[in-house]
Amino acid sequence: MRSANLRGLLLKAECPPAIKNCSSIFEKLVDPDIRSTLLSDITEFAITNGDELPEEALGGLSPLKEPVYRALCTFFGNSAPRAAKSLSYFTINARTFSIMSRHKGNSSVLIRQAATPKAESLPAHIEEIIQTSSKDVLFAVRYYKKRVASDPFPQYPVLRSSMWLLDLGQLVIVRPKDIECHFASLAINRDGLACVAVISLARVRAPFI
Amino acid sequence: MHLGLKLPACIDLQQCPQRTAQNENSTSAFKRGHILNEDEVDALRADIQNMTTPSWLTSIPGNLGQPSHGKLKADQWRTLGTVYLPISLIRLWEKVVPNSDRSSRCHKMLITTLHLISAVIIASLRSTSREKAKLYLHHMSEYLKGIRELIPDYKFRPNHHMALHLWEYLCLYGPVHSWWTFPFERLIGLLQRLPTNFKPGKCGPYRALHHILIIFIVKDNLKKPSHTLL
Repeated sequence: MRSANLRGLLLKAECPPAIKNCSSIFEKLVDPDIRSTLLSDITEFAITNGDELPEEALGGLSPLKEPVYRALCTFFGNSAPRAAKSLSYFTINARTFSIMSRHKGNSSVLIRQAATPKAESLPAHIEEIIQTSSKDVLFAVRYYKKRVASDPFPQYPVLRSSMWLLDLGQLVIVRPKDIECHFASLAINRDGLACVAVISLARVRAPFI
Repeated sequence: MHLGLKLPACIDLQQCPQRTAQNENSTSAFKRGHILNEDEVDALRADIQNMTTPSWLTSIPGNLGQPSHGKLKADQWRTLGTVYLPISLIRLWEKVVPNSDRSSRCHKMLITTLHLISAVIIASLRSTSREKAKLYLHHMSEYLKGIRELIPDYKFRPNHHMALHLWEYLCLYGPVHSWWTFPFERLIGLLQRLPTNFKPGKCGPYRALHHILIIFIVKDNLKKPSHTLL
């Protein structure tokens, strides 16, 4: 169905209530302002009310998995909580960051290693998103362990790409402010090694200059 | 206004370099529209299908190059060029096979293409500075020089010339997002897609909606944060 027809249907008085109730679901499909080209630009410019929590954030605390607890102990020291709310996604500045089991692409993140503009960002996957009793949201991530020795990308710094071995490291806790952006990745075989090529999708920060 | 930069004198888009034996070979190997061979196109399509991307990233047709997917939109071209092509082309063309003329030319084409991609990345960043504008000009100039060398018969278009002036506007007006005309393109698309009664000037059920939408868009645009030159 053409989007104009669907948009027209939603505006008609005789539109069935069941369809009208689903208008928010259709919004992305039928609203020309956020459809098709430059979708990401529009969401970037849209007025947002800060970070968004999913509905599951309203639920109760549940015991943490052992690897997440150990990572929290490293992060907090002895005061690490034993229970927290487990979230499947978290939205920051209109970008949705998910856990790896929910959406691998949305779980692929570059994490700033320092607050300076030219600081390196390392690729990682979000494995867990937790909200502690003090309402702090934390991300449990696994970094790629090792860069490929014959990485061809450093000679093209503007591309902001790099190549890593597929192995992921231990769980590490990071705060949402440390997450720079998503990255796109492609698993490839290089010199007999299983690697992943990572390309930054940041559209503001340019550490190459 | 003097911005302290001049267009590189070595770029003369109107003048084609003299034909040499090497250029003749280049022309025969890289005719316009026939740079990638079938295997490379298949590899590129496989990469497009296998790449892991976040849900907000504009999708690219997996059968890229087939007429069935229709024309790519501007944002799809940008995404293809800045996300998919760098990885695929570097994988395909980075290594030069000894004694292979095509491999050597493909490597030169890779370098040239990466100059263009770098220029696009810098130009479409949401932050800019005089240094970034200079870097943009460097990459765009290198790209045009590379094309002139690799495909001597290629006729440059006015857009190629205009691309060499873009750095001035980055310096004068800041990031392109605050002054490019894509919002107006979107508005045109919106108006084109609105159903009408095909009776110009006569009030139809969607005419009021038409005006409301325009007001809504103008208001929305006024809310956008302004972007300044960093």
